[in-house]
Amino acid sequence: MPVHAIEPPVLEVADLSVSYAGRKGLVVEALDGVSFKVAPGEFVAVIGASGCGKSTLLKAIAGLLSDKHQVSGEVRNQAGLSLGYLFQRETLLPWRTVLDNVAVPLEAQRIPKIPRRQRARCWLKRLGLAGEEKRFPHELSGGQRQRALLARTLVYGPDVILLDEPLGSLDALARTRMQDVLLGLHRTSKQAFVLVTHDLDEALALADRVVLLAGQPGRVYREYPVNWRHSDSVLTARMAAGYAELQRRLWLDLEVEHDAVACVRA
Amino acid sequence: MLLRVCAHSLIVAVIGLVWEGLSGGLVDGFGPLNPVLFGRPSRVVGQLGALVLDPVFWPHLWITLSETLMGLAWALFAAVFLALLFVYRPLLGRLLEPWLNGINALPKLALAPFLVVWVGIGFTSKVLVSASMAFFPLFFSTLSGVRALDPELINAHRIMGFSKLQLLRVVVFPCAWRWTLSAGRAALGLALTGAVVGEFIGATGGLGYLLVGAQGFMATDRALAILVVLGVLGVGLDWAIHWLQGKSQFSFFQDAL
Repeated sequence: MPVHAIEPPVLEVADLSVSYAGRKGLVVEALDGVSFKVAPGEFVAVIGASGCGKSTLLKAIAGLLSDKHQVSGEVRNQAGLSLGYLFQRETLLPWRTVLDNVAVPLEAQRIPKIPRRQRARCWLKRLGLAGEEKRFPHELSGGQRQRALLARTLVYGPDVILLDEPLGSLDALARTRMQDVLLGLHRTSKQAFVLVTHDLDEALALADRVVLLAGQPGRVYREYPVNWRHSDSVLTARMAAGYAELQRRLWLDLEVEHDAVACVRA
Repeated sequence: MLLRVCAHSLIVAVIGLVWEGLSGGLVDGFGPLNPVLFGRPSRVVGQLGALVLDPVFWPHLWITLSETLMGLAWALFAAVFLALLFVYRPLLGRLLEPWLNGINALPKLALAPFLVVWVGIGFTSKVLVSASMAFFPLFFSTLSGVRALDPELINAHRIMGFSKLQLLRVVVFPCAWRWTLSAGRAALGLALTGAVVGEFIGATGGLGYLLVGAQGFMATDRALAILVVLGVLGVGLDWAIHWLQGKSQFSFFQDAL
């Protein structure tokens, strides 16, 4: 952990507030003064209930908010930082094969077709999709599609990978497998990950640090360091000492915050 | 396949035979239909042969075909351009929308005489009439296609570093293209109608020009033969569009059924 404190952050969200005009001109506040840092190679999980602005936070980091949004505060990136983004919804192009879908980001970098395909093929293989290159997205299972999306995100080697509940639509088995894939990737690469999820277990099993976002608009309630980062699978992480305790604490904090919001509303 | 060919041949034979009989072709000169007004199938076939063998006829066919295709091409270009403009410049889109709706509600063929007077009786006026007919279905369909795009799909590709222009090529066009093509068959029929009606009004060549000429001389059999040629042309172009649609369709809709 101290390593993270010394190194300059690869990404810093500083006092970020976002609001936008909702229906009937009502101003909806999504985020209120959110601040946190992401060190190089760190895995940060942002958890919170639905509607606390988690997705908005990632969109703001990626610079994908439309001009309808009012933004104050800032997102500081290291110069020349490249971002990858795994969306909640599936975003493969249905008219392209899996291979050409995975190679799409390299097209943006004007890499010629043959090396482009080679690199895409390599990543498909690493994520267990060898042999599926020629198939179309609709011919794959949900888990395979999600892995293809991950391959597409990794193929151009972004410094920071933003994950917006990417495993929400998978069945429990496929989800655990994908979590192991993510763990393995994080251990072997120097990339930083920012995962947004409402799944406590997922956050605890994968992250170096958990940021609890709560309320409407969302604020950072507290940050929790996670100490069993050497585990090589989700299962061993769950059996690590201190896991249950931290899980309980997070639950309680989530509940307290939830009740507080409910009271304010009532 | 063979059965279908037989069935359709039979239908044609029955209609032809009844018509032949009614117009006095079976019992010489004895029938309720005047062959000068209604034509007689056997003579129509003869005229069709004469047309096809006449070297003067083919340039006329070519004129109508090229007018139709040019009209279609311009309509396609304008439809895609305006649909994109509507989406990327919504303010301009809102300004133009009532005007386009108004022009769409107008019977475009009523514009044809004006166009012929303004632009002249040559090739260009037919292309314009044809394009104005084909434009609207293509435009509305393409607009729906571009509007139906998942914003997340755009975002996901934008973050990879594609420019707006590249995004058009990689995401927007391939997605909207199917929608455009789905209006292709309707647009094609309208484009052909536009070209032929344009030729009716004033032209120096084309199948519509030949048709009006034949009718002017009460050469009903010849006029009907030209109509048959127009029909064949229309069906041929329709097949071409259908083939294109089949090529650009992804198969998952069929898979789902």
